[in-house]
Amino acid sequence: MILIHNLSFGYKKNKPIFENLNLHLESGSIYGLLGKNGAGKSTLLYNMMGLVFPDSGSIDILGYEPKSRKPSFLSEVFFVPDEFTLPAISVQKYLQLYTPFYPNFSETDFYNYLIEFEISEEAKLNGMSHGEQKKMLIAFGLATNSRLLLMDEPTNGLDIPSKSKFRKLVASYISDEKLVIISTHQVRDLDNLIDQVIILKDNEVILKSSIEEISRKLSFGVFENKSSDVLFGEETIGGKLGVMKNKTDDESRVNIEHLFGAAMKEPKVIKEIFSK
Amino acid sequence: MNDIFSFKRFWFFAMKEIFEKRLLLMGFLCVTNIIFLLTYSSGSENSEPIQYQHICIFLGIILGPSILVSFLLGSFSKKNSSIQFLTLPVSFFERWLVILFITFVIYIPTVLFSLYFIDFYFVSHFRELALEKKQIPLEVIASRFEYIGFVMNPANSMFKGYLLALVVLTGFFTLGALHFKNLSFYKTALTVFLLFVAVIFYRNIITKFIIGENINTNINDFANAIVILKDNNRIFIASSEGVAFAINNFFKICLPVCLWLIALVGFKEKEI
Repeated sequence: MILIHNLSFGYKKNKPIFENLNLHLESGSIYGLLGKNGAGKSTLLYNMMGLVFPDSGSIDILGYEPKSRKPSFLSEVFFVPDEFTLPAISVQKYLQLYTPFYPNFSETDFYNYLIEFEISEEAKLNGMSHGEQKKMLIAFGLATNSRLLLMDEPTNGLDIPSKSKFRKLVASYISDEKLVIISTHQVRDLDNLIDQVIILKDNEVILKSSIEEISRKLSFGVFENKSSDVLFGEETIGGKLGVMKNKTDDESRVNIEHLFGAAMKEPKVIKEIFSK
Repeated sequence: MNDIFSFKRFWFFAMKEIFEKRLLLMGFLCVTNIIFLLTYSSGSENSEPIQYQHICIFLGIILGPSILVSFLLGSFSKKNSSIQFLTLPVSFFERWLVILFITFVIYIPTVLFSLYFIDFYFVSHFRELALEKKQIPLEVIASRFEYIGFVMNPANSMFKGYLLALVVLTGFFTLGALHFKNLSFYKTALTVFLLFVAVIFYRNIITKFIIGENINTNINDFANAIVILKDNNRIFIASSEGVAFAINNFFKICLPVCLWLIALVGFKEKEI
């Protein structure tokens, strides 16, 4: 569904954000795109949406080159940006003005999502808080039934109950022909939601793997303090709570926060483990 | 799906843009009409209505639309709104066409309609006052109190000049809105002003320096010039027919068309 080949991009010529980045993403999954601030998560999404153009390399999404921004491509993808400006109109008017552009839009789904997020359809967009506006935009994005849904820090500004509803709605959205990419640095918000993880660091992809594979190759839990195999750990009374290479056949529950910590601390080791 | 132009998609996009920018459009029309009223109100039966007509045409259909296109493309001034604008499933051609549609099909005819109406009312009023007072001969009244239809006659060279200025300036401001991220109107206005000054500087000062004489040309006449000699004699210099044809067509057709075509490419190549 998404094929990125040797992508190089930078806002300034001598300061590349990506260099020869390769990525192949298949439909039917929810990808968590993780990375520190400035790692290029949003920039990668902008490249995928055709909002910025690669310096070199190619991007193929659903058979389209995003750079062309063809209407047939844009009607198949939806982007929920981190920061946005909504027009000063009501939710109903927004629906009336924007739905004609999305052939698979479902009004029923949209109203259900609004009910779930406790947003009134009568409300004016400019009278809403940022969190409410974001929920409305997420609801709209989900209701477009786009084959590719990109979300940049979607849980920023959402209250705790809304984060849980967000996870529930996104999980119910996914199907074999759809793909969701969620970029965030709030890794805890993606717990129990994503089934694939992509971690960016230093202009490259450190890790791209399924949760299943991660739980097979890494072990999450409490380890002895002295263990030198611990890739990342937080000191606790019982020992180190963290990640180490899985040397047994036992699978443990993936802690995305610890996985991210390990990828930041030991990128080479993580790359080596997952390259096998 | 036609990825270049679909009338249905264009129509939905135009309606969306007009509805979202309705306050801006109405505000522009209100301010323009207030300026028209103030300008005409300052006139009397002794003044030349044509002066007010020129001021109003300049403000209403040259300066106004130039500012309007900058505001219509205000989405590009911020990353947030730029993302919303560029990710909407419409083609670059439709985005470009909507700017033309709002400016040339909605805004300018509406402004002209209200200008005709205001002009008709005030000029009729001035004419009646002049006729009542009978201080001016009837033939002078007949020739002086012409309605705006006279100025806006397409056969009139003045009309062609206005049209050229309108297309060139709106083209420049559209390009400016695509090129500059913030304060695009001011930056474009400054660029146009500097360009204008540079042309004048080149034409009047550099030519004087090179050939030692003053050059006087009509801003709207690109092929001919009058050289003012030191003894104040004037020599009219006309380009040959072929050169005049090429120069005039470049400035009157190629330049405005190119500006709008570059803007079209700008919509395609625009990044946030």
